Amino acid sequence: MQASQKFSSPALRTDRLNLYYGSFRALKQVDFQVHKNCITALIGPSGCGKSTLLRCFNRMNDLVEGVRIEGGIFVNEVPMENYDIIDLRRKVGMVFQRPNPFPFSVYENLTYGLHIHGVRGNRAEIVERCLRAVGVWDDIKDKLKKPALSLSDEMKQRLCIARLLTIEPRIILLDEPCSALDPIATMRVEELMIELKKEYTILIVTHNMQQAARVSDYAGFMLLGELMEFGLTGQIFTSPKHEKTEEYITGRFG
Amino acid sequence: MRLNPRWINKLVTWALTFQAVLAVGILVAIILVIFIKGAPHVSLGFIFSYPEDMGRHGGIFPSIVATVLLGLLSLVFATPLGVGTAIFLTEYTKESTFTRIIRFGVESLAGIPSIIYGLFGFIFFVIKLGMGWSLLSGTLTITIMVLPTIIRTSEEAIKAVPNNLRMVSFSLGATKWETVTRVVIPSAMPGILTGIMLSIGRAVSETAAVIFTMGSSLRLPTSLADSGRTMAVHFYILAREGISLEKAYGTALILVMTILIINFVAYYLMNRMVAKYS
Repeated sequence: MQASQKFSSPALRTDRLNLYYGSFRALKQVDFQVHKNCITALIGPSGCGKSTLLRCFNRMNDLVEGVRIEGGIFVNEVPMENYDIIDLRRKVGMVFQRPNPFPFSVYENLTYGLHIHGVRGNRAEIVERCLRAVGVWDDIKDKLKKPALSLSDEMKQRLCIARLLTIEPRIILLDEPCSALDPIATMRVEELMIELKKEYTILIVTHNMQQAARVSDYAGFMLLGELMEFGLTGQIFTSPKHEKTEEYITGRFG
Repeated sequence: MRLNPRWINKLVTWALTFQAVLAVGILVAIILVIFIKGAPHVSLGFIFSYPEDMGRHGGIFPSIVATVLLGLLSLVFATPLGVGTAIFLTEYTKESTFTRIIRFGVESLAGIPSIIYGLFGFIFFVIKLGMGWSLLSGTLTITIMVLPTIIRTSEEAIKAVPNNLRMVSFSLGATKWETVTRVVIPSAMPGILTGIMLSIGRAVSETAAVIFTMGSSLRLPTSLADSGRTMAVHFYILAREGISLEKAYGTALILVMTILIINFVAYYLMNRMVAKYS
């Protein structure tokens, strides 16, 4: 399956991407791609630019003052400049590090995106479908009126993923989605990711090497703003080409 | 010699408890005095009838109406203006000399004695704009007076909304306005309500600024152009001019009850909102 993926056009791609925070160069000449219906993981030590790279794809970096971008970013091979920001963010959704449901009811959390995008149709049905997709419908169906903040961290994070699914993104960016969860919850969210890749393209930033090894099809190793190595996850973890990659994944630094 | 820390701890606990009891005790004492002095003169007739002979006899119905109208109308003007300013200051501008000037202005406004507002209202609304002593003049003056409170409390409440909620809203494709109206304001609502309630309290209990702008006519105000006498003003005149201390205490009791009811309602609304979302 992955062999054929290589030939289809990538869902996300950057071309000699440079990003500056003021005078600090956070990304250096990054050539990167994310294949459709695969999980691609970005690994690397803190501050290496992996979250920055992830946030380029839904323009969340726009909200940071003094950001300057050079080079190309493509979503479905269409240059970033051609996208309306609202359409882009609908297509490329994001899940954050800490579960961040709105301080509303579970149901209101799930209909937020529908309101924003003026989606008509049966909202209750969409809510149910998305909660089923993240595997919490049975646990949560009697709690739809309850405040979302009263849920457990894992449920909150699943709710956040479901909230994203309501607006039907094609690509999901996950920024260390499990770092606030315990190991069991992490495992279950990983299973969810594998389930989701049938329909969605996933890019995940993670600090957890085992997680990258377990869930991803492709992996990229970043260091000091550079994409040091990129390839099939199996190959990155078993026979890394770059010395630094090997040192990092074997835990010698980072 | 070193004092025994356990002993100090005990002493502090007692001292702090005493202070808390004292604070509440003063409040209770005031309400008790007003209740004891006022209750014998309060009846349904007192609430629903018109004053006679400058307030020596009869009730205070027009004053109750004037008070409620002044409180509500001031809010109708002050809330959008105040919350709007707070939204502008927190969400739509970066910290700059301009925002600092606005903030300084707001803080200065908060420190001005109310009689100065009354004087300004008298010169500007009553005389210059020819509104006369009227509900409208009074309302506008009180609006200006309570603006700083609403702006400050709203601003604090909006600032306290976690930034990641804005981020996630943007990431879902919401515009700034959608984020502000659908996420930020609802999340900040308990804080904003607090400011509004404080403002009602001030509007309802204000005398100096109101006497100068709304006048002290004992008739029932039926339009914005009518003069009227709020309960606080009525109390002031009854007591000051020695017209009737009994009626003054009766009025004070109704005024205090009104403010307590407003606070209870506000408290209830706030708790319901907080319970719903957290």
